Amino acid sequence: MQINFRFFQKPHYKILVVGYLIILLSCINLSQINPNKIISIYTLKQFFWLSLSILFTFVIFRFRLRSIKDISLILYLFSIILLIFVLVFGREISGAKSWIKFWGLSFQPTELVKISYIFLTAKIYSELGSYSKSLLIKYFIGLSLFLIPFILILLQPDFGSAFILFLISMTVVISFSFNKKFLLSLLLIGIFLAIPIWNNYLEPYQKQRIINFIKPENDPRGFGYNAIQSKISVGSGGIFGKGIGNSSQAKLGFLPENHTDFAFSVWAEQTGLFGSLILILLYFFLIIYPLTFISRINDLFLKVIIFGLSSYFFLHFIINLFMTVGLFPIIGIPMILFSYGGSSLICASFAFSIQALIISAFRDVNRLGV
Amino acid sequence: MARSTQSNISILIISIFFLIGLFKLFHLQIFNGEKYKNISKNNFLREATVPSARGIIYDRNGTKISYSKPIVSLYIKSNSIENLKILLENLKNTIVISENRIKNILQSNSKVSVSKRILVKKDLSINEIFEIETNFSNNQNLELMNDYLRVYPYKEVGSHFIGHLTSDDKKDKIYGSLFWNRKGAIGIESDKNSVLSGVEGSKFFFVNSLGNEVNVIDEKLTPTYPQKGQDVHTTIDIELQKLIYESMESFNGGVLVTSIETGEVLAIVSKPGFDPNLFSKPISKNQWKKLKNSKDNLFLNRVFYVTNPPGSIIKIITGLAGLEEKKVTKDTKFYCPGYTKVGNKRFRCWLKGGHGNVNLSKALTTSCDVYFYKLGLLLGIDKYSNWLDKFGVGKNISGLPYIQKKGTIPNRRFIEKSLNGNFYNGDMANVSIGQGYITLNVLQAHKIISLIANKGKFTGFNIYKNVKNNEIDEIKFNQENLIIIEQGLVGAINDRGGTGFFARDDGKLAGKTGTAQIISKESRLYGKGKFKNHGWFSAYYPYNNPKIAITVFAENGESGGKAGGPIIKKIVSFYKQQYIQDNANKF
Repeated sequence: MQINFRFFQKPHYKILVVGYLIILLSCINLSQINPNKIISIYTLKQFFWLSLSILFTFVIFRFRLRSIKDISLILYLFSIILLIFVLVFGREISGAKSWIKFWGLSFQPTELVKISYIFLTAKIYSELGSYSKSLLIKYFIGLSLFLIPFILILLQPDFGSAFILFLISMTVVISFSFNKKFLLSLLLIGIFLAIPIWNNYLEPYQKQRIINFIKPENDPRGFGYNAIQSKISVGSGGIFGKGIGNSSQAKLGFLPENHTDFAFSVWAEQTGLFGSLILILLYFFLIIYPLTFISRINDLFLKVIIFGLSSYFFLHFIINLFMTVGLFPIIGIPMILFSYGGSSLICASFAFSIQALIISAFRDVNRLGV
Repeated sequence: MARSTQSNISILIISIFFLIGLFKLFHLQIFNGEKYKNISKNNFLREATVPSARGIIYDRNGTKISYSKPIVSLYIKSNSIENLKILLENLKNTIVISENRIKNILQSNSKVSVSKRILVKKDLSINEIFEIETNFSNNQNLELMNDYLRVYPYKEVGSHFIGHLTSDDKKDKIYGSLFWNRKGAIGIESDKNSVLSGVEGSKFFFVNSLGNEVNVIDEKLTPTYPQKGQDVHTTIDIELQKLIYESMESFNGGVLVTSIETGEVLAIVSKPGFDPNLFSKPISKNQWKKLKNSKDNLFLNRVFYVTNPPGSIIKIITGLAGLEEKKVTKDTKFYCPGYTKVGNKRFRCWLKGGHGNVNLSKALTTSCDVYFYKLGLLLGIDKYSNWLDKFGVGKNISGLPYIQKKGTIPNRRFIEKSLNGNFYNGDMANVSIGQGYITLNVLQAHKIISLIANKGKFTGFNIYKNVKNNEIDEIKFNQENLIIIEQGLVGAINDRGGTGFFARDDGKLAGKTGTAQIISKESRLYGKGKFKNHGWFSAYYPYNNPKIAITVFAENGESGGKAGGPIIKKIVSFYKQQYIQDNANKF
């Protein structure tokens, strides 16, 4: 008993427990979304990924933090190669070439690139030495590292992932090289470019698409269909929900992609505000808790990683949440850890395992250096 | 320190976003929870109507003259165009679909919507159903659905009488336009629409966003079963009707046959008819136009909605009125030299050489015009029009579900209104032989002969079995006078020189022929205008104990005797065969 108690007291275990709890809830959430099946195939698969990721965690805890820094570049290059590979040999699923098959398992390299980008940026930022004062260099590095995978992802085309990558790089770059003037000028350039493009280069149907994208209610049978159905799902959950297995929206197929993009909607319908609050609090902890250690960490590499991974979780979570409740247009961004998906689950559990590892070991690093 | 504030700012920003998300969740789940719950309920629950069969219309012998045939139609549930194309290509090998139809389906369904069926083909043959059941039994996207098609086995024979259906503009939410819920447009179909139409059932099913049905075990909603419409039994004898229709080979017109004692209608024929089967399905605009603009005016009900001068059949009333008003007796004779002078004008008899000295019976038998010119002038228009009115000329007869055209009766009001009060002796002479300002429809002509046959009693006409008539009429007149008229009517058919010799049968038929002369406005005088003679023939059988009354109106039939005679003969022999020899107690 005492051992167990101590186990939960250690900060890095807290992160691991919360992370795996979210995955566990996702298994429960997905268990009943198929009509006429006792347990859905997604839950079974998710369990498989869960056990695999726990195995990964054990492996990661054998790592030294130093070796993470060493493999950052390799990881980044590897993910870029995979992105190119996927463009050439990838399988097209629902209009986007974003999957590759390894030994019968599908893998989405975009998930890996989000993390490897953070790692490489962290590594380079920490090794700038005397150049670290120059914001321009930092922006240049951050943007050029981001631009290659960004374009490759756009070519698939997977706008959701590209958008997330853009936001991750923005938060990381801006947070570690903050300058008001620079940001303002970037914003102004963006606006000045957007207006003539809107006026001169877009066809009316393209404009309509963008408008529908922002206001889905205009097009309830087309673009807005998912948005409206998701809101119905969430809203119909009420305070305590319809109960696990009673999501009519998912079971009857009104809610498309109910295991990935709209997993939260299904959860909200099944468990109501009560269940949603639990999930939100878990995510809140997972995102905020590592950030509270940043001030105590001396090493920039670790700081950037902790911050970058937190923003990685935060952006996925908040955009997906806003998407499902109608605060944000529907772009294919899953709620990471909670949505079904092998690659994203492995990558995300890798991410929080790294965070846990850093938090468990940062005191040593503070003394010895990475 | 700077680093510490940076992470604090991040935490603050993140918290704000979380709070926004939470507020929205509250908004959706607490404040609008009930609303969305309702929406989600209606989201998957679909209600579809289950067709019900319309009631059957029977003739008096239990023959179906209008019924609803169950048909099976093929629908596709799938709503992706790619699937649709593939499915249609596969189906083409199994059932007969034209390339055009496929094109139409693909075009009209280029914008697909949730939970709507796409009609592939209506009314599959047994063979096609079998082929689909064997070849596509596993295909979840195909659905066979039953519907009812109204069938009129006798086609144009009973068309005006039975009526036809028309769209009721209600489209099923899921299946689109169906045949079963068409409503009656005219005739019995319209009159008894509320009786004939059944009550639709409804079934509930759960659909997903593709419109595919899914089984949801825990939810049970009891379907309501369709109720068949009630049957309607008519008094018509469809075989007689058919016989009459087919006998009217060379001319158009209307024929009415009724039972004298009960007023039951045995046949209402209006020729030409139309095929009511055409209206059991949606009819194309072109086809409708073609039908509507056809030369013979197919949709005109010639029994109820065509009025013409009655010609000589009105002499029955002229004669009876003369006797009743004591202007003549049975022995009063007028000399007919072939014409008579009214004022300065000669009014000719149809027989150039004249009939010589004739009494009333003889005048009716030979249809002597001169006798009735003279009698008419003795009567005067007021007394005459009074008698016309008593016999129902120019008046609608209630109890029949058909629009009637009244015609004109030359009474005081008509004279004041339309002729500025000028009614000359020439006009009087004309109307007393049934020409000029007197027009009636077949129904009214039939009422006249029925009244004579039934000795002044009128029981009304009805087309439904077991229905009591509300229009009961009785004209009081001296029965001895009636015998004199009857003598004339029996003679008209059976005597040498009678005008109805074409109908001569076993000597028990009594009747009167007539010829309606349509005179151009420029010249109302006999022999000068352009004529388009219509034939009339009213008769009853047998005269000593009248059972049936028959009226034939033959458009452009030249004379009633020639056109109507053979038809009346056929009707009588049919009646004798079917109702007297076989079923003596049929009435």
